[in-house]
Amino acid sequence: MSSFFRKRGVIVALVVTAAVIILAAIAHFGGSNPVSTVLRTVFSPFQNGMAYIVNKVDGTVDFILEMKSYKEENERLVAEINELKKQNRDITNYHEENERLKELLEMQTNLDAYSTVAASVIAYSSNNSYDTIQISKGTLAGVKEGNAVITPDGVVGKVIEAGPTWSVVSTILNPDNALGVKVSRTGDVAVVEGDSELYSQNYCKMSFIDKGSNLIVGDILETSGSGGIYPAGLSVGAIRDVNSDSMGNLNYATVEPLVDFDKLYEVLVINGVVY
Amino acid sequence: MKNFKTIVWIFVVFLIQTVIVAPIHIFGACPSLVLSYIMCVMILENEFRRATVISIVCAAMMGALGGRGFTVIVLFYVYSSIAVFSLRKKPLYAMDSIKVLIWTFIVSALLEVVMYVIQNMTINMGMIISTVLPTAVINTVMAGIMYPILKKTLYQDDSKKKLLIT
Repeated sequence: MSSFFRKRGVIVALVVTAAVIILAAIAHFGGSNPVSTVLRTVFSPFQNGMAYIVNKVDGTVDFILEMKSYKEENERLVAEINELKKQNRDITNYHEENERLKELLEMQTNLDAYSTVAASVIAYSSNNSYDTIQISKGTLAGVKEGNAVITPDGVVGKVIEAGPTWSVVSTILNPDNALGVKVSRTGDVAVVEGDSELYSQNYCKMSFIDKGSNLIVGDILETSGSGGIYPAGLSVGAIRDVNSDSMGNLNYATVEPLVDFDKLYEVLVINGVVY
Repeated sequence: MKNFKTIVWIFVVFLIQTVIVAPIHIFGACPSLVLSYIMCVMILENEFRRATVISIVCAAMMGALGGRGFTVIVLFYVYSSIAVFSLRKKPLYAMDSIKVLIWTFIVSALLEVVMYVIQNMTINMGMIISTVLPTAVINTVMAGIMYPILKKTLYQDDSKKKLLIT
């Protein structure tokens, strides 16, 4: 039996050897192995499909195995983003503060006839209105009672109490405060004072208006310089509403201050005349 | 039906070999699923014609798709298949599954040595330990996994026939 197989086995081996030699000769002289060419052509679509599936499975397995590290990386990146957001907010705040201080400095430069002291707003009136505010400079910095307090936007009020390192400012919203103004457009003079009904809305009242004044909503009011506290030409507010009686006589106008008391952070105190 | 199953087996084995197994290099070894398959078939098969055809087809495909020395691969696969088929009954007391493992190990090792000698015209023990042994071990493991599956899917009827005859 074994000799039978050996004989047939030898024949098969010889046949295969001859076929391989022929194929090798064809490949050597022809440049390509025909068996290889045919098989690769037949197999390649299936190999493409299988490779696609294998890659997908590989990717999924890798993802699952690396999920822990992805989670840690995600947490680290979220913390980093939060820190960067905080830094961004801080930078924005610094930028805004820088802009305000630049405006204040420019104003200080423009008011070279007066001596000025810059201060920060550190406290507000305890009744949640802006009739009085507290600032960070006092007598040690040269601030005195009666000094005008302004910002680049306009008039804030005047100092009514001064400590060594603090001062209390009565704003133009305070019913106890009044200042002489004139209408920029027409030159008409009047008085702007706080009103007990209007100050909670951050408005004040313009009264003692000249008869025959032609006021319109939006007219800008500026200090007239009378009274000796506020220099002339400083912005005060804009007319928001004009009220008249049945005879058409002007009684008073509602004034909206140009200073935004909700966002008041730094002020300038005019504490004297230089020349 | 058996021929169709055999064709499917050869197709799947070659797909897995070329797409999945070929890129794998464990301890420097390049496993060959096809060689493991051929050894399993040579032990399980009883018809010389079928065994020869399967071995020639697999050898030709492996030589064409393997990328390493077409002539040497084809001739080695065919010769080793014929040799294993001839000796598949010996020793009688040994189980077929053990014979598969032993023959796969021997043939894999021989193939790696032959390929190395042909490419480098030299031989050394360090090479044998680092390349030949891992390849032979991995092929043997794959044969051990493939044998029961192949027996169940392709050669279960033959086992029943043997039982009926006995």
